[in-house]
Amino acid sequence: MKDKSFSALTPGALIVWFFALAGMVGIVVRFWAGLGAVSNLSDGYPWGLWVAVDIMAGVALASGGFVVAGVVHLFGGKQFQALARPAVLTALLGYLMFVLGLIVDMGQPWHMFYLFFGNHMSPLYEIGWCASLYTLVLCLELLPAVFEKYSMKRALRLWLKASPWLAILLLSVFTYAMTYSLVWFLVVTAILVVWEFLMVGGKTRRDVQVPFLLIGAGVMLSFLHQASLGVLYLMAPHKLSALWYSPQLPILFLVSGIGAGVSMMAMEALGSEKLMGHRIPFRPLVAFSRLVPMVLALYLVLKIVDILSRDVLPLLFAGGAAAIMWWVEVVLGIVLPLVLYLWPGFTAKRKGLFWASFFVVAGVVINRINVVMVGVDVERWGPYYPSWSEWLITMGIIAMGLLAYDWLTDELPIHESP
Amino acid sequence: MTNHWIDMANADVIMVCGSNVVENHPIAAKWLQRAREKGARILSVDPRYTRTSSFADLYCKMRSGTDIALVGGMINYALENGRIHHNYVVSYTNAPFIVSKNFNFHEGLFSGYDPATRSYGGSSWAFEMDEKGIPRQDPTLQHERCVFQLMKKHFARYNPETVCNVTGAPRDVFDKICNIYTATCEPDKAGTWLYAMGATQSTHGTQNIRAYAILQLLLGNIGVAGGGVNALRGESNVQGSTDMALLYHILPGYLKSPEQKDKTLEEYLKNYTPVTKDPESANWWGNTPKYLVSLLKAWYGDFAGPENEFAFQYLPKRSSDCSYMSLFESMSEGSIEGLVLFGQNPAVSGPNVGKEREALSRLKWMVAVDLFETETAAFWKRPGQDPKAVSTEVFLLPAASSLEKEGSITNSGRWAQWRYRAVEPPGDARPDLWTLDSLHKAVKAEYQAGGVFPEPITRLSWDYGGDTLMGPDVHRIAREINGYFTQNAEIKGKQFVRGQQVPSFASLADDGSTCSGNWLYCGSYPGDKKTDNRMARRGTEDAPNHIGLYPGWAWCWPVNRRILYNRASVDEQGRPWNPAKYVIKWDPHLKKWAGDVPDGGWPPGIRHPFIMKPDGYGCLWAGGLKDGPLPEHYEPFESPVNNLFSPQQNDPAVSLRYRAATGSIPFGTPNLFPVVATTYRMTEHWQSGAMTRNTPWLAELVPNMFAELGEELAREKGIKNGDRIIVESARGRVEVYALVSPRFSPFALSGKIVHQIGLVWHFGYEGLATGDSANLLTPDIGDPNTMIPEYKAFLCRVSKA
Amino acid sequence: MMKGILADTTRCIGCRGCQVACKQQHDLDAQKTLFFWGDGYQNPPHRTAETWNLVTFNDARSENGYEWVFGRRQCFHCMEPACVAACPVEALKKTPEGPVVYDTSRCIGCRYCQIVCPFNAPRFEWNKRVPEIRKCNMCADRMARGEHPACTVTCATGALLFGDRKALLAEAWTRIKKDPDRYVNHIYGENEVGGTCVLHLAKVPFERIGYPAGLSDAPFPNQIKTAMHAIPYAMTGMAAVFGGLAWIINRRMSAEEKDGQEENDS
Repeated sequence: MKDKSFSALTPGALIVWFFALAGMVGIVVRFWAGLGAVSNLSDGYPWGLWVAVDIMAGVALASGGFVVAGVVHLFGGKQFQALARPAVLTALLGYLMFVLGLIVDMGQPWHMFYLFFGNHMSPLYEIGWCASLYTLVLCLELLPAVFEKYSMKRALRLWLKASPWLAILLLSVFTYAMTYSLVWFLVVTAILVVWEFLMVGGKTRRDVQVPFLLIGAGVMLSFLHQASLGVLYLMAPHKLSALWYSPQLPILFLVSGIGAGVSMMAMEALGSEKLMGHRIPFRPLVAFSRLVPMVLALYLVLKIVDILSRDVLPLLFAGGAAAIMWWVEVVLGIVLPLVLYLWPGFTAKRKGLFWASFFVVAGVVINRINVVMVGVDVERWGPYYPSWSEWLITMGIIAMGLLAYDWLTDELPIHESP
Repeated sequence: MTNHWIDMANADVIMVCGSNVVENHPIAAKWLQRAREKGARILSVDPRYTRTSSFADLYCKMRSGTDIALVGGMINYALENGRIHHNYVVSYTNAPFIVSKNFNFHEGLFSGYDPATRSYGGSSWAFEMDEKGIPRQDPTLQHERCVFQLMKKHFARYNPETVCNVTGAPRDVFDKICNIYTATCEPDKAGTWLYAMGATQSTHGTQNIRAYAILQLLLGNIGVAGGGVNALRGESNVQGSTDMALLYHILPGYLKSPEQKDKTLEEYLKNYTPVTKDPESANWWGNTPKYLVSLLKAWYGDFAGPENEFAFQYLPKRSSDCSYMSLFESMSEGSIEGLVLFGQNPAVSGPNVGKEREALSRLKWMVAVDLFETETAAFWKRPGQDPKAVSTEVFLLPAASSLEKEGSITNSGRWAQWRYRAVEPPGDARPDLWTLDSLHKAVKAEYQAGGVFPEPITRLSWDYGGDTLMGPDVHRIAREINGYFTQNAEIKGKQFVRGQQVPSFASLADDGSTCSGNWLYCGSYPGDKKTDNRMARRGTEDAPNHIGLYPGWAWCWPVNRRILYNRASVDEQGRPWNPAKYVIKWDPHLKKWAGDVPDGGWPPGIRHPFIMKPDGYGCLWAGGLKDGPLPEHYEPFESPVNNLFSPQQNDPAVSLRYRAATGSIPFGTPNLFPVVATTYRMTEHWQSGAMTRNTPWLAELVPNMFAELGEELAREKGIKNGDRIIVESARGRVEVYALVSPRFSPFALSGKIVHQIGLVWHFGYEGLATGDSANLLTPDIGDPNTMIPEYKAFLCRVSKA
Repeated sequence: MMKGILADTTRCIGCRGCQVACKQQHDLDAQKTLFFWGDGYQNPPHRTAETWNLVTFNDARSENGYEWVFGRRQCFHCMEPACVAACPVEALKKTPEGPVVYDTSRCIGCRYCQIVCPFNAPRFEWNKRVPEIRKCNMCADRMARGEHPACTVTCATGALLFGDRKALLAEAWTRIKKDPDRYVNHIYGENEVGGTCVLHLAKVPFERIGYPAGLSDAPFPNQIKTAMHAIPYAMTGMAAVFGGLAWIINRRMSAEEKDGQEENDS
């Protein structure tokens, strides 16, 4: 394992280290000289590559965590147990990368704490709360790995007891923050407390690996902010092309996020097996990935219904960059992987699963790029293309994530021992 | 202006011809807006669709330099369609006057022309006098040699077809303009004419204004509210400057400056004091002796007395032409040693500045008193000039800006408004008064130590106190300009003591008992206290006639009369033509005038209204000008077409001495330079740009030199908006940005298509925003009466850079 | 009493005194420019953090001939601003007097306000270390002292009028009715996006002079109100659904286990 990780001086490792370091330099320059110095962002295009990829795609791709955790611990998918920890780690790192990307993109990130006492009707406020709490939940979900490594049995018992209540607290506080209403706070707290008592009663301790409420919190928070990223654009009908602007944008983001997250998890598993020599539960992975074509099919249907209901069919054939990118997104990102998944036996093999997953991931990344960058065409401003330094910082953040993944999977019992 | 700014709101029609009022006098747009709210219509006549045209109700395009053709066409329209204010024309203008039988106009030349000297002479333009010595009149206007009939005949050639072929104006628009404007001939309607440099900066600039004046007189628009011939002056205090004799040919108060032929005071007064035999003509310039003697008393105090012709011999006597172009001509010949510039930037603002910049290097020394280092002050290091090759010693003295000194500023409406110092000038910057005072004191000291004929300097009455930091006490100067009694006097039963301020110019005498620095400003400071400074008044109550006179706000000359020639606004019984907007009216019971200060306090009907003319009548016919008693269209000296009105291509009285002096031929011909060019101004920059191109917010708005051209010409030359282009004339070339706009369109002149372009002239090589100077292209040739250069119509060619 | 500005573009002479007065009032920098934008004199090309209102020069020709019409780009101070609804940290606030004001001490620089504004009003300081969002604030500080916004004071022709929004609307309609040939029969900003405090009149259709067209009368925040209000319901619903599902599944699983255990035990 050690010689196959990024601590060795392989060309691959060098490239990752280069981007990580160069990215850090880029980030320092960004803070020293301002956003304009390292990007092509402008008043015509205030959101660009970083929002599209680091933030929006990042969150979508990190959704594997809650999907796997939910299936495994809430809905009895014990056979996928071994997928859970890697998925949660991927999700946590994904969210940390997203937070880093956010800090880089925001103009005055040192005011970020105001996000928690802000305007509860703003989608961005909701995303701020939600994503922060979810990151906390992910950390909590990963704690058992730490306890395991250092044989902290007492801590584990405490965690098992306390984390449901922590989860209830987080969700209740979140509800209050979203509504500033004591009534809602009490309603949600009541339901969650009832749920906890129902679950605890009639359960054996052996099966309670991760408290349900913790997982449930993760699922609920994820659903909300995956959708809210789409809500952001509801207030931009004058900016976003009708090819993507839709009242259904939140649902489309949520569904595509689920598919992307699972595919990302598959890619991460297969990648870490090849590059870092981790042992992965391949059969369960293939079985779990059968979720993806179902989600893709649902997504495709939703997308088609949406296009038809808004009468934008002519735009699809109008030519131009936006229309072409729509077709790329749908054909390459939905239709192709759907076909690959349904092709008998194709995804039963490592290479096949990898490529099918790749196209799903690519499709979602392209979709987020389309919504944030391609679909926005501001009058009297030339087109926006990200600068090389924007690419550099994005790649740097990804590289940093890879390095962290490598280090943590070595240090903590995430994957099964070979 | 005969009227004033606020009065524009009283007009029924506002003609903007020869000016771009909204662009360059944006505050005036407030009054135009008020006029519009009362139903007025605004007409814009311009070679280019400007910001004024955008604001106006109707835009008529007209080729640069063809004002007389267009306005002549309007005069013809008025005469043909009887659109004249008949009573006014008969009673108040010289329309009925009968002209000498020797008068003739043939093939573009008036009688009396001498081609050798390029000047008119003789007396064929004079009126026939009766036995009393008063011009003979025909009140029926039928006499074949009465002015009215001569005018009809003269302007009959200005029919709409010819006018439109010459000016390029669209026929339907021209007809509309004529109809709308001449409708102000009704007694209860008034039209105001706004003009500025577009009209004056031409080889026939004076005659341009004459054409406006003739039309306004025919329509009865002079002396009435909402009327007038209104010059929009180009600087905030240029009116004050010309009042105080900035120009070479006058003394303060528009007295004539003596020439070499005026050998004695008596000769001078005889030469320049008009006389009339008509007892009903006030002939106000007949008071010239009083004003000149009072002026000399102000300048030389006790050193001016009847024994020495009131120091008349101390005044310099000029050769006839010391105009701006003449000065630079002499400078380039090396006969001028030094140049003192007060806020003047000839290297950008003169005609043919390429020549001017070279002329500057012939100076031994130059003093530039300015807020910034201008192009002129920096001429010795300008692009392409090796500083080592220039031996001129240049001094740059920092000047205080208008906010940093106290004094009066006189606006186009003749309102002298007092300003206070708001902030201290920075560093060593000084008000011009301090600089002049110091200069005078230093020169005086030199003369006291020796020198030729020192008396004109050493004997100047120059005692204005004040502190040494800011210079003389401007109040003392203002009081001297108003004037005071040099000895005890009694006038019309009233006693005045020596040293007491003069109440008005009616008190000025020619015996040395009064002094006054400028008779026009008599009454501006009639007492010793600062509270007597009428220029500082800020009364906001309007006069009872409610036409925006605001007689309590500041003080205007003469004697706070806001609308000049206002006796023409009433009939011979003193009843206003338009009672709703009366300027003055006679109350027969009180035996007094109400409203504005009347133009002479006499009861109605006993004086002719145009009191500044010897005859007392408004001049349709002006025999005293150098190039004709009536305006006649001539082409600008660089023109793409032949003159359609006569074989005389150009104004025959224009001096061509510069052409001879340079030996070269600085005039362009249409085959080499087929495009008409003009220069113009923008709101965002001012004059030579010394101040505005150093102001970052303004440099941001207009950062670079450009030429504006029409889409058709641009297409022909393959030029796109924003391209760099070269514009060349026979005198120079500039490289500028091209502003391709729909606001210039080609002129169809008798079927020939002629293009015109325009350049702003605000740019030079100094400051934050720099660019080539448009005046590198303009010709150094000027009006025969005023010598004002032709900046507005010349030829050029355009190509991509 | 909500105040506003009535911009009657038929009175505008394009002098840009308002543009410069704003810069002087708020001590804004001049920008380096090279030439004009378009075939008029427009400069700078866009509003920026240092240019809060911009006079535009528009070719509005018709069959009657060429017409040069001047327009104005600035913050419209909407009655229900999208930016205020969007800002997560309440850095943008709609004041009862009318102006939409910005508080940099709370701003996180997310620029969401720039995304949602129908008039592209907020501008960002891209080259500053501590970047702010900058836009017209209707001189709220001057208003607090009882003075009028700098641009309205400077305007020579009275094209910019400051006053109560209701009174301005009444005045605008009076002008339209008195002079129907001069004005397009519409006050831009009366109803667009729920109404704005900056109202415009023009003699040509507003889209000819660059004003965003096709804006509905519904305020932009309406687009997200449903979604945001749904959150607590979604929370409750999800808790109930997931909780219910999980409980059912786990009951079955533990029942199976118990059976298995019993089998083992027996």
